[in-house]
Amino acid sequence: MLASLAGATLVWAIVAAGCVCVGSTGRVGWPGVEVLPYRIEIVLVASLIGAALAAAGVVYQAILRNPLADPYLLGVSSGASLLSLLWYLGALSALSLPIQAAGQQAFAFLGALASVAVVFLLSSRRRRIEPVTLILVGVIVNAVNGSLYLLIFFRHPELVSRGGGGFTFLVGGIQSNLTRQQEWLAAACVGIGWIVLACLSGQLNVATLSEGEAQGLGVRIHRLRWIGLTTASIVSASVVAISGPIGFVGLVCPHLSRLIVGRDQRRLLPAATALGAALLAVADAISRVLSQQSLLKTQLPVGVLTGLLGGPFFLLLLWQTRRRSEGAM
Amino acid sequence: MSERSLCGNCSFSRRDRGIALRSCWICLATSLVIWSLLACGCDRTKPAAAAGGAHTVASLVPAATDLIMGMGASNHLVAVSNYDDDPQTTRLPRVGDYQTIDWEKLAQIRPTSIITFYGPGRAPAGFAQRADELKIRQVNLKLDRLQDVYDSIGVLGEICGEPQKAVAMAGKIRQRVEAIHKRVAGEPRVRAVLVVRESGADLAGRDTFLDDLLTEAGGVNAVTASRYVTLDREGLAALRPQVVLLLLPGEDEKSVRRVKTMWESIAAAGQDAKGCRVCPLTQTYIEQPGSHVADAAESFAQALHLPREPASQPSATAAGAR
Repeated sequence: MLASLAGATLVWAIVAAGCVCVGSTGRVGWPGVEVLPYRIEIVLVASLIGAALAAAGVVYQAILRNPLADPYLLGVSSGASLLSLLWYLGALSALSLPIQAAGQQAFAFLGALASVAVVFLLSSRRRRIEPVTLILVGVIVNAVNGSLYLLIFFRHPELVSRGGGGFTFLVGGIQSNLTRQQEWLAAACVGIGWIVLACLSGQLNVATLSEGEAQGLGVRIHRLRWIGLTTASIVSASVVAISGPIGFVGLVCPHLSRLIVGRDQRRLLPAATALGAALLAVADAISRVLSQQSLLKTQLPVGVLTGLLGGPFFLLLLWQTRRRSEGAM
Repeated sequence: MSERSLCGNCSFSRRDRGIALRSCWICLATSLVIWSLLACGCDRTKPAAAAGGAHTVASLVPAATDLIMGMGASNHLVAVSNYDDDPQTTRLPRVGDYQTIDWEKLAQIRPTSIITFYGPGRAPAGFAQRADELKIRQVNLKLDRLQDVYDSIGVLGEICGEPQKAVAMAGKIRQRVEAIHKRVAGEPRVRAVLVVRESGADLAGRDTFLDDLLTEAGGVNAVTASRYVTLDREGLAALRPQVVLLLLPGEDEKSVRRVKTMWESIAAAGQDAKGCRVCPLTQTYIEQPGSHVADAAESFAQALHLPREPASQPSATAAGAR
């Protein structure tokens, strides 16, 4: 586990250092002293978001025993995003910044938990979760959350500025006007959540087995599932609260990492986390480069790029699953 | 023999893993090449040096940029918004808009003031935090009414260190608007609507600077709702305006014709559509609360008070022609 963690951190550090060299000022190379703190901040925030979504994806896929599970597809991201927006709606500007940030995190977590509970309950049948039903229910929860989100925007268009960019928040992106309190609180939630998930990672190997087999190995599978789901929801909600729902990172990264390090969750979790962090840092760097090319008037939200990458990947996975099931018949 | 996954339906053979690893390397190499090409094509121009001395301004509001240039203080502008398309601003770096702010560019440029356009109490807290760190004064403009435009000119003059130029400009605009008001004072007031988007269904209502300009130009807004509204076809027909002012800045002829046809058909369907005129106004400044508000008022006045000759007017509606 420690060796995987060290290796993954090293790979991420190399990629992140490369991303620090790419900026919106048009110059490629190590930035000057005045720009460096802002460049590092944006790379770290992007990495934090990617890492959290990928780690949550690993846990959802293991616990739900579904290769298509991902915070975005399960409706967790849209639920967290919706409640986070509601917090903005009701939050009093008189509140201190740390309380505002904490309230936003709490609301996002409630939204994530509510969505995952609905998806989990509606797709369970005789204590078994149907993989396709799970995704269908996730799609419906996403659609309902998305509609409520748009309804709030139409009713309160002034939230476009309050959220630090309504459109960016809707499709998922790195916000440029986050407070330090928001950033630190999200980092703390992700850090603590990740440590819990790392401690559970050995048992997560067993979670992928049937209940009988897991209990035979002495693992209290129900408790493990609830702790895993709740912690993964906290981790994903805490970043969705500051970025909006960035799609497919939690789907793509665990699968790519599984191909590289295998299926042992103790190695998979650090690898997917590092890959998620690197992927989003690179996506953000690309969006910064694109904004310099006069192709776009404003910076492209990274959610658009991850969607372009993740959509075809999702279809590939579906096709692969279908081919395998046909081959097994 | 294929190795099965521990993860439910997900299964990959050793061959798959080999292919995937090779694909990963190919993807990585390809993205590095693409990235390098993109990086080579980057605009390497450094931000313009501040020529404005102690008063340097970054404007995230195109209308404010226009006001600053209009008063002759463009040498104080060091950065503009992503949506500024005036040819005079092409040399200036773009530092953001109402959605995103490029703090690293701002850290490099270090203007003394930054102009924003957030609603009251709606400025993101993180914005103020970063602006304070960089010691940039945040100036939040309000440009809802015509009086706000006059007030903003004063504020902009102050942050540019050019108060005399601001006073002169505000006086000049006020004089021209008052002259238009006096000229049309004897004319009957014309019931009009102000269409503000290409959809044709978005209208400027009361409590907007466009409504103020319409009033000064001798018109009365058929929309009684406050601010900006979007109506369906039925709602648009119920307004029964005498003049429809299509404010379509910079739109091409095809778009203008489409919106014009739409409004002509709405007017034709109305019971008292006789004499309803549809007037497209495509000047780039026409719906901007900037230095050309007096020109906009002049265009409104000319469109409202044309002699009514439906048979010879190309924009007359079918009903009007009958």
